[in-house]
Amino acid sequence: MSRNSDNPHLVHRWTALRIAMIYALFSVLWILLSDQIVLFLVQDPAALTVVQMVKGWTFVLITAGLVYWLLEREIRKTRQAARELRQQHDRLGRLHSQLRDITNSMPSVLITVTPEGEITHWNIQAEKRMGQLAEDAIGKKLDQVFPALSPDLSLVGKAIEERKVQQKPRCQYPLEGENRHCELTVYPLTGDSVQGAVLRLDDITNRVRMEEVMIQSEKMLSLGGLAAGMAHEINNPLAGMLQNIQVLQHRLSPELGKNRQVASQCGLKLETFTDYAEKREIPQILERTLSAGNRAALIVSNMLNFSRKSNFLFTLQKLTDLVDATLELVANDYNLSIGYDFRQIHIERNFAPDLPQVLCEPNQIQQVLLNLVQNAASALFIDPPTAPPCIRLALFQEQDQVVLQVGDNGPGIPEEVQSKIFEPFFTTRKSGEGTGLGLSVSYFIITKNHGGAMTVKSSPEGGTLFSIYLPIKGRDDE
Amino acid sequence: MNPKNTRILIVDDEEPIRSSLANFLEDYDFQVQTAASAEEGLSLLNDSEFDLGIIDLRLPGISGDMMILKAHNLCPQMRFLIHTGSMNYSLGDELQQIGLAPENVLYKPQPNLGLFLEYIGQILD
Repeated sequence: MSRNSDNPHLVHRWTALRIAMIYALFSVLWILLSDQIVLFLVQDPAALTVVQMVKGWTFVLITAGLVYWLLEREIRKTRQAARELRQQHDRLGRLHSQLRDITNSMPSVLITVTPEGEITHWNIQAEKRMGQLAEDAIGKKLDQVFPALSPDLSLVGKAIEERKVQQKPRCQYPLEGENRHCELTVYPLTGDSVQGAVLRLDDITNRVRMEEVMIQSEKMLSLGGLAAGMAHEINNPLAGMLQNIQVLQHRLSPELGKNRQVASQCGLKLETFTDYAEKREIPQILERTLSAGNRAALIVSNMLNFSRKSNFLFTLQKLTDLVDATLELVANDYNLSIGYDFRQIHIERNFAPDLPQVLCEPNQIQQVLLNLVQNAASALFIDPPTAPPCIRLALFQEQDQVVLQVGDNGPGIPEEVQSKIFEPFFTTRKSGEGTGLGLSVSYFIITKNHGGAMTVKSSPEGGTLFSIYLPIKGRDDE
Repeated sequence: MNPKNTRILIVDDEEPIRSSLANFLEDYDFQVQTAASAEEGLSLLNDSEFDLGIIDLRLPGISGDMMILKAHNLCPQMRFLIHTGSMNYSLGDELQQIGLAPENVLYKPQPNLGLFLEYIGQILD
């Protein structure tokens, strides 16, 4: 943009003087020359008077014309200059609002600061995410307006000094009252006239969470495969053990004819032997062994659920009915070891009307639901809430999925536990009380077998909410 | 069905499973012979007749289902139960054609051996 003094159209500061000088010069020449010429041409005194009068009028007319012409020329130039200035002004205004729109339309928080850390620009995202209006922020120091960024002011100095982009790929800032994962980029302003830096803050929380979920499912997949393979191998020796114990039990039984026959062949009174065995608690020992073996068998069969099966029967199901049926199943559940009685829990149902039927394997969905409800119930009894224990079940549609939620008002799950909760063999219960497989099997059933999703939300203040997302049309098989 | 006249062939490569099942069935007066492989089982079939085979599927050498098909060719009146550790086993078409049904499959580990008596009763009556 050219400066005013360079613009040929603008009124020169000496213009008025110049017009006056031209006028004065003309008048002086007129006075000096016109009388000489008149005196030379006209001698008659009467005619001279008339000629002098005409000359006076002519002077007025000619000088008026001259002044008009000079002024008009200047004014025309000035008008044009003003017009051009206005156009330039409009262009600048458009550019300004365009720039503002660009920075405001950015999904990132965009802040510019001087080398001293004074805020010079604050876009709409900055207003929204940091809870400060631009008019309140601009002109103040960044560390005062948003203290969480004060440790990063060194990056601003570094960016300006080295003239290089500075990055902090993973950091956390409180945005809109929530701790969010962010990526911070600081780059120096490269204009000639201004010094400073731009801070760009991108919220990458969703990406980070997605990565976590992916890592998690990768881990689950490999652990799941391992578990299924192991389960298979364990089944054979386990079967051998269980069968042999059962045979042993049979051979101790006085009811079996063959036992009596062999005993008498050996000259043994079977009643004496049975008496001995009972006094030595042999039947109990065998029973204990069998029940331990059966528990191992149950774990193995749970582990086998990790391998994706192909021969499940997927049918269209009304989830409301399925949930009700499951609740009926647990209604009389009474767990002695934890000491919970399901009837003491208040059950809240919140089912959206007109839900579409969902293509799923009803037994598996019931297994998942049973697991969640039982977990909720035991959470409510291990550490009883101050409020009356309550389990909330909700069913609603979200786009092409039906969401099933199981919530409780129990003590909640600590954050470090939440991240591991779906891992196989992870349990917080005492050894022997939980296998650590319930939730991981559920997770597999939902994500692998049904192509859905399963999440957990819990706050340290209490209350846990499990959400299951089931695609209405079932698993999307390639 | 009289157990004393019922001859059963158990084929399983796991000795503890094979022997305990034989012990159990013998206690109920069945006539039981065992084999650790399909090949051994088939050679027993050449010498004597059996009413029922209780066959494991994963065997070294010839597999259990292949053995059932061969045994069926040797003695068409023989019936079969499958005893398998594969939870998600589904019967092949050929086995179904010779009369096997999903209710003829027992899974390992079997927490109640009494179920064998039930299944044997059903299949031989």
